[in-house]
Amino acid sequence: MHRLTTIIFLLTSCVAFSQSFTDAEVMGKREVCLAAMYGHDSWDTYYEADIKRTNGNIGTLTRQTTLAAVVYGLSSKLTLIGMLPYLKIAPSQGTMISTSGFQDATLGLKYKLPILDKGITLSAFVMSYGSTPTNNYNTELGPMSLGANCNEWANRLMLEARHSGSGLFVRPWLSYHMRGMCTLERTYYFTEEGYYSDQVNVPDQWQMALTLGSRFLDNNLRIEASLMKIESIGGADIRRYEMPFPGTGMDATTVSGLVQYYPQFLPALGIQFSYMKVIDGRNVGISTAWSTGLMYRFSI
Amino acid sequence: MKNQSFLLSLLFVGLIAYSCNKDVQTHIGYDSYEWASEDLDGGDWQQVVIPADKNFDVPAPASTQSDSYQAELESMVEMHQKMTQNEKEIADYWTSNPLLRWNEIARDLAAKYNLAPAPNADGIYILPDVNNPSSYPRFPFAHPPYTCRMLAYVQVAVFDGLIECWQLNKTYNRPAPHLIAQGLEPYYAIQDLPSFPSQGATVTGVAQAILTAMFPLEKDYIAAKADEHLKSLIYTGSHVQSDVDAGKLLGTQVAAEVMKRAANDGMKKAQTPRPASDSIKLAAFNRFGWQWVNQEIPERPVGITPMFGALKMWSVADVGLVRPLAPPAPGSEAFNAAVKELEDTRKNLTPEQRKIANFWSDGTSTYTPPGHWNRLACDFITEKKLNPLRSARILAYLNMGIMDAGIACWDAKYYYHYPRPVQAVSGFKTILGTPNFPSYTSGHSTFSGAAAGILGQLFPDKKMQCDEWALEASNSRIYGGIHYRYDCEAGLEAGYKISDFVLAIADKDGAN
Repeated sequence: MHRLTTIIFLLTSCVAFSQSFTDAEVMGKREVCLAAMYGHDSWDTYYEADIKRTNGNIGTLTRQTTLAAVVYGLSSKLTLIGMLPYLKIAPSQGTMISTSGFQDATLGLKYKLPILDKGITLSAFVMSYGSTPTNNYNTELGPMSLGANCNEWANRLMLEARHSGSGLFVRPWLSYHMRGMCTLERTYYFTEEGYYSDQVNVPDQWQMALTLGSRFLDNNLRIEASLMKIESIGGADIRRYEMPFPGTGMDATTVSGLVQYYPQFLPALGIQFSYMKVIDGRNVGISTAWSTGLMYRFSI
Repeated sequence: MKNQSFLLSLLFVGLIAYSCNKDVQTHIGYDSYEWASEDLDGGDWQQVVIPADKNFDVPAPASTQSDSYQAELESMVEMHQKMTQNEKEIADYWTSNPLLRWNEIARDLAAKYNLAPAPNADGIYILPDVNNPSSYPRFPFAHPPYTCRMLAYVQVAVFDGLIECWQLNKTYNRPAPHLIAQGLEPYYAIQDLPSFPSQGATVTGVAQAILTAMFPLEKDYIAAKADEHLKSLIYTGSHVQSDVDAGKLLGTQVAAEVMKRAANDGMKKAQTPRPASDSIKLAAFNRFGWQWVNQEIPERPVGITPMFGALKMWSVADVGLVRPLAPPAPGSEAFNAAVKELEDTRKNLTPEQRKIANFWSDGTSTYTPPGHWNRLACDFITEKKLNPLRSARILAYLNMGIMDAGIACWDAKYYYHYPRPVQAVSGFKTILGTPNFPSYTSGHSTFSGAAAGILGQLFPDKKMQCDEWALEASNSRIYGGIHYRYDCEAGLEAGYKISDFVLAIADKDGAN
């Protein structure tokens, strides 16, 4: 029985972050879930290429994200998901400004393919989602930029094996994120060589994760832990003592945990809390993040 | 179900269109063209550095009847006939006016080396060391003063070298190979200029020598570029080997002569040690009651090249002739008005203003404002199809003016030692990084005033455009929050003043 649909809002820090479709849940037909999330992500140390460093002109960088999401069951197998984040990014030191604004809007589909149901339930999920900047935000502010200001199209394959008796589950996934061009407001930039254009190729990414968890309290409580890896394909390193920019290739390994609960007395309302930490990476902030959110479900 | 498939396909098609990646060009697609003029008497023009009576050691060429010439010609014709696709691409890259490409290479090297040194683990900044260029931070740090000077020496030496080359072309009057070898059709548009020494090889000889001196760690890269171009002069059917060798030889010698000026222009002392920098700061404080202090964390104790204002100028006898009046004292009415403008601009920055700030920012990892104006000048040169000598003339005067602008601006910066907005206005934040030198006057404005003044005169139909750009570049610093309006206005004015000094030299060089 699929009870919940959630969106883990995964904060991977620094210039680009991705909102991930990482859950194994789909909605019932004509079911709607509205979600509101708040995320807090900060770092004072980052990888400049592979050099671990701090920066007195940034101090601690804090990103706060407020996210609104709508999830709708087109059928019992196909779910439509849309979301829009609002970001606020501020350094604690230095003379550079703080920024805030709506970032990229995401719309996507998730299709569930049941494979096996014999004590162990095995399902595959195919997801495809795209995001596009909602406004022409400034990408020249290094880590204070709201994002890479480019379109993205991600395709993800996920498997979930669930033991019905104990509630234990394991969930691996792999996705490829095609990312388009960012248009700078200048016509020259230098990475390893000079580029005579305002167009920057924002590097594509592989993302992969393994999640282990269990359900309790008649499936109303879900607790899980994940190990995730993001790997950019190509992309430039941050130059020595330079800022990142949309062409920077960011890699990260993160560990995270999530608790989600739908109280018995009010089953339409869910609450969740997640925690994430970057444990390794390249061109990325070594951030610690937490997020919390509320979900409200109903049928139409 | 039908609905779902429709939705799915709509989404997919849309996203494929969105995500399509493109190749981004790593050099400008300059096209080859037939030169608008050949300036056969260009050898008589006035050189900038080389004295008129100076002779270079370029042995006279063998007669075109000689066996040695005929053998060279035969080998060249064969290479030309066997020209490969790769060689054609190389020839297209270098074009019939290779000094544009060398200007681009110089710009790219500036961008590559335009990185501010990082503090070490103890928060101490170490400066690049010319005697140990490869240890971090690498030499050079190609900030705007370094870059404007580098471009000036490259372009002045190319100009002087080409005047010398045109002189020898006329003296020896060796006909171009296509006038001797029946049926030879050179790859580039046919020019009837004498071919000894090769004009292109002269440019490359000069550029290689000067760029190698300016970017010692790039010696091999520059040599590979030079060899690639010199070879292309032969297989494109433009020159025989002895034309190319003579050009390279001439270029190298001219470069060495011009670098003698560079050795004694004051650059060695421009980046002062801390005590000298402190006494410059104290002198300003005693004189005016204010002083600029770097606001980075950790603080950079010495600004960029405090003594650059003492360098030998190309066109102005004394920097005092172009030094602006003192800026308003912090706290004065004029100061408060300028600060109010900055605060209002920051609060209400329009997308257009932000775009202008970013477009002209030309900060670290770029070719700096001098490089930006060089790029614009190269576009004008190709549009007007100028020959290498005329192109060299434009770029020489442009960069003399830009370097003089740099010198004058740096003189004002460290004489007045005026605090930046982020220092003088508590809590003031910016969208651009504040550079490591005093505020008054704006470097962008001074560079741009000089560049626009010179280009506007040398390309009269571009005057309005250049003036607009210069004003935009100047204003961009206010939009970026890193300069007061009077920094920009005084800089722009000084820049235009300097352009008049340079144009006075250009007027008398015999090219008009």
